[in-house]
Amino acid sequence: MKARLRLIRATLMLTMVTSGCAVHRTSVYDGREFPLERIQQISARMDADAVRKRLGSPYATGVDADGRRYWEYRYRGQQSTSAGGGLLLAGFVASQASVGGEVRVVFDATDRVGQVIWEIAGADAYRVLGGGGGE
Amino acid sequence: MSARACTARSRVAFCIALFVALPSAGCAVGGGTIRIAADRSFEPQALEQVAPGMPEAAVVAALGLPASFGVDDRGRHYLQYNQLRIGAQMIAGGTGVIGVNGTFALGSTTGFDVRVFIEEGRVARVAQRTFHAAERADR
Repeated sequence: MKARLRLIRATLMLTMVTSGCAVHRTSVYDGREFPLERIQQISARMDADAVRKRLGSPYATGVDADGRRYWEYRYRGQQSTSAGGGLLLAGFVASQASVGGEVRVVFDATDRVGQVIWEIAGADAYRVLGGGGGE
Repeated sequence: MSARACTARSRVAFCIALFVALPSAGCAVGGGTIRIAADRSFEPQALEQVAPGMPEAAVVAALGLPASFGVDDRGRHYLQYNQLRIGAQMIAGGTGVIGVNGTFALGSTTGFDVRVFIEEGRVARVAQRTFHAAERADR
């Protein structure tokens, strides 16, 4: 009997703890890792080998609506944090931040870089890689 | 206390424990918000400080570090800021001190996002989008 009462007490204790507070962090990435810090080294008139040397093999290749060949590099992620509190998780707050980056390198008819479209996400990335846009 | 009374009490206690433990461990329902924001929060009024000709560093001083930055399909450099709130209902499949595994059923989005275009280190123009909470179609 004492053992059963101890079990009940332990169950109640566990329930109170588990239902009182919950924190969850997740990071979900899409694509393939590539050197984000080299994105801004890609410039017009570069050939495909020079692009590959800096960014590696593309995650995807294709032809756009204007018939131009392009390479895509993508490594984007969402870092989420959520926290809930109260019995049966009555309420929660969560935050989500985008991280990583993506590039589309569009080649012209001579197979050289004609256009580079890119985005790098995250305040930390801006602190390290940003600033001086268009200068 | 007789043995029968003690057994009855322990059964009741065990049922109460199960009643509380099973829902909280197996299924929980909650409501709240998901915030998607840049490194620092700011009010929409702060955008009024951002005007063409302003240096990029002054934009960062006014609005904080951007959520992202890049070059768009017209070759324009930009800083992107998001200040969004997504109301959500959540049904979780289990709770614990270290984790919640669940399914999010997202609700309406409110807030705004801003793209500050930079040319030669200074603001060229500002584009803004405001999200209004979705209204039910049957209202």
